[in-house]
Amino acid sequence: MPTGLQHILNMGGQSLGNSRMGIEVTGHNIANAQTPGYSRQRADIEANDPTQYGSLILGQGAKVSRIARAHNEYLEQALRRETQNHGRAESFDHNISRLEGYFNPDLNSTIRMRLDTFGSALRDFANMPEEPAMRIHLLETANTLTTTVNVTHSNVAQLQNDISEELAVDCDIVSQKLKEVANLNREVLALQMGDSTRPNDLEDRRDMALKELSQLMDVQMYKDDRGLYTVRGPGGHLLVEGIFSAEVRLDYDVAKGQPRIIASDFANTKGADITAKFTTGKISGMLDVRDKHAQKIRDNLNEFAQTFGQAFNQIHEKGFGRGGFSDVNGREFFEGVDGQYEAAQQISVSRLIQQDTDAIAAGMSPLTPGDNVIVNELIKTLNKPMFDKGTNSAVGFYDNFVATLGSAAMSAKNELKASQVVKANVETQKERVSGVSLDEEAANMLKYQHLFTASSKIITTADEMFKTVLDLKR
Amino acid sequence: MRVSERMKFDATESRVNQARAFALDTQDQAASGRKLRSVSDDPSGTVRVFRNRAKIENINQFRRTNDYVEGFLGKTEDALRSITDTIIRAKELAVQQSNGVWDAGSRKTVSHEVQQLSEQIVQLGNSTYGDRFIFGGFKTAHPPVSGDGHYGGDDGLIYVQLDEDTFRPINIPGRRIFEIAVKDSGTNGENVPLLRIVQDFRSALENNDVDEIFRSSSRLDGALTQLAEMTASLGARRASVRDAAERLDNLEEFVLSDNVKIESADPVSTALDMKRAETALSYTLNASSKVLGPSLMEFLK
Repeated sequence: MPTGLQHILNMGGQSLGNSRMGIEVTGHNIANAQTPGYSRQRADIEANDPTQYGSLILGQGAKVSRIARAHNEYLEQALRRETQNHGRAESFDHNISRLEGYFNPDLNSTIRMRLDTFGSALRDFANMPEEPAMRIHLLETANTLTTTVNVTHSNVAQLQNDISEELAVDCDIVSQKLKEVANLNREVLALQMGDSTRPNDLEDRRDMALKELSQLMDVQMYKDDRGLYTVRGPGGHLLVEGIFSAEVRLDYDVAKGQPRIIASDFANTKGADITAKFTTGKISGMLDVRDKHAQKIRDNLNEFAQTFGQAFNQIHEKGFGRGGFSDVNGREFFEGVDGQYEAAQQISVSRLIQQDTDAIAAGMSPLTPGDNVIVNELIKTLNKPMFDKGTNSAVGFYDNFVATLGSAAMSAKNELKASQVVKANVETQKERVSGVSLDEEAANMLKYQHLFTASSKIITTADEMFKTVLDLKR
Repeated sequence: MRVSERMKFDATESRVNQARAFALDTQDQAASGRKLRSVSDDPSGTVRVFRNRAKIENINQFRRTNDYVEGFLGKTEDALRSITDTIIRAKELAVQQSNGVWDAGSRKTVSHEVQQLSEQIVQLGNSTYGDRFIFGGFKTAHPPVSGDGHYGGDDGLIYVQLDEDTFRPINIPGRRIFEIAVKDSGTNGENVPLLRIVQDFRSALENNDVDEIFRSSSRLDGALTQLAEMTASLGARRASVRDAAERLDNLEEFVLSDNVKIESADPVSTALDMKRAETALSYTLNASSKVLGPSLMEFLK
């Protein structure tokens, strides 16, 4: 018989259980109020199927049908996308600022300043070509200039190395996160065996792992019918499928220049080079600075040193020096600018001149100590258009590439600000749906507490009714 | 709208951070007095600052050059004037001694003075500025005028850069002073060394040769004309050097003020910004303490 006191007692008992469960979920929510990536859970209570009693339909109380998480797949996706953009903007800004720092207008030791000083020394030398002190002064400023070019080059190269080292660490993190997603896939699969309940906390953790991955790189994913995520990375490279995950690592093969990022396939351990396929996330920001901007600066520095050095040498070779060199010409001023290696790294004042400043050529004709024709020609190389197909001088070329770098750094700053705002916006939207509110939980607690009290009243009432019935017999 | 715990804290955190970042930035600007602190603050402005700094460095350089050139030209002018004076004296003596009233004795006496004049010319021709022989062309290390009046220098013109785009010669190669184009029958159209004209005059006096004294007188005239030409061209050069110096002063003023415009922070607006940042920060902190306050929990007993 479906009705009767027993039935009331059961209903009360179940309701007691429901409210206890409600308090439990509330407690879980409060405990995780500040857990990153946690989605608020709620106990969904629904009425039990009613039963027919004669001509009446009687309710059967309520049960907790499931514990759902407040989650919006669309927002989760939007957040991943914005996290990627932000990750990229942040790492790009950070690294390009470092690069930019080497060309800061506050610094007095930039190539630009050294070039000005060198020009000044050349003019002093032109005024008094027979004065040995002027030669020594010229040599010193030339040495400072070449050293500054060398240091700037090595700074840029060092930045590239630093980025590569950081990339190696990030690749490890990516591999770990991929493995984590695959493991969570496995656990979700195990928990779901023969049951359709959703393992909320595991899903939260998987979402979190994917969000952390998105912060680093391009990630596309879809859920299969078993609720498992398949993850594809840059260029659609398969990274996680079911319980399998790929490994991402850095390949230091010096012959190919900068280290490449390799993603292994599940079957083929050799893997594929995906370096050029990153379009977003922190890694792409770093790659962009390393392979585009820093490399461009490095190339520009080399071109600067080589073209300027060669043009300078070409004129210098025509000239005659002083003392033992007053009737021989054909000496170069700068060494290491023949283009065989990186000129900005190699450039220095020739060894002959280092040993004896008399080797510096000033005059167009032999045995004429006051002849400064060559020096005047050398001064003119500072402003002679020889870069960018003969449209730009050495200083103009330098200014140009510094300004280009500055513009890139400026737009990086703006992009970072914009991506911060957008990401914060989406995060707020997501929190609005999934976040825990203590006020709400307090109200819930009260709600379930009252429900608990009321349910227990039902039980005591039913109990008293039992007693009354039993007392009838006395 | 639901407001979750994390929303409250995150929003507070980001607001306080924003206020602090602004405060820090204005403080930095006030302390350094600069608004251009990295290339990305103003890329095109940075390039202009670079160019202006190069200009300032060059202006200082050109000033030094200018001072040097002034000195060099001054010394040259002095020497040239003294040589001219010497020749004028010789010419005076030539005019005087060509007169019939003078006899061989007095001419012999005068020849001693002329001898001295010729020695003076050698000395003046070998004038130096610093360690440089000013009349030697490019051959600045050796005396250009030898005792027999032969010119040992070359025709090199020493050009120096006076400003960004002006190169000017500062020296007069001695050939134009110490070799005189003579228009009489005594030569084969070749130039005669200045010194030889004077020495010929001296021998004419010694030998009491009136005809020769006449010829010397006309040759000295030729020399004076040539010297006058040189003096005039030297004067023009000095004027152009002074012009260049003046241009440098004007340019420097312009360049300095342009740089200040780009680089320096305006103290008034910086001070205002600082005040603003301070107020914003304290309000944000104040508001945060209220927002992060109690939840419904605290009111449930």
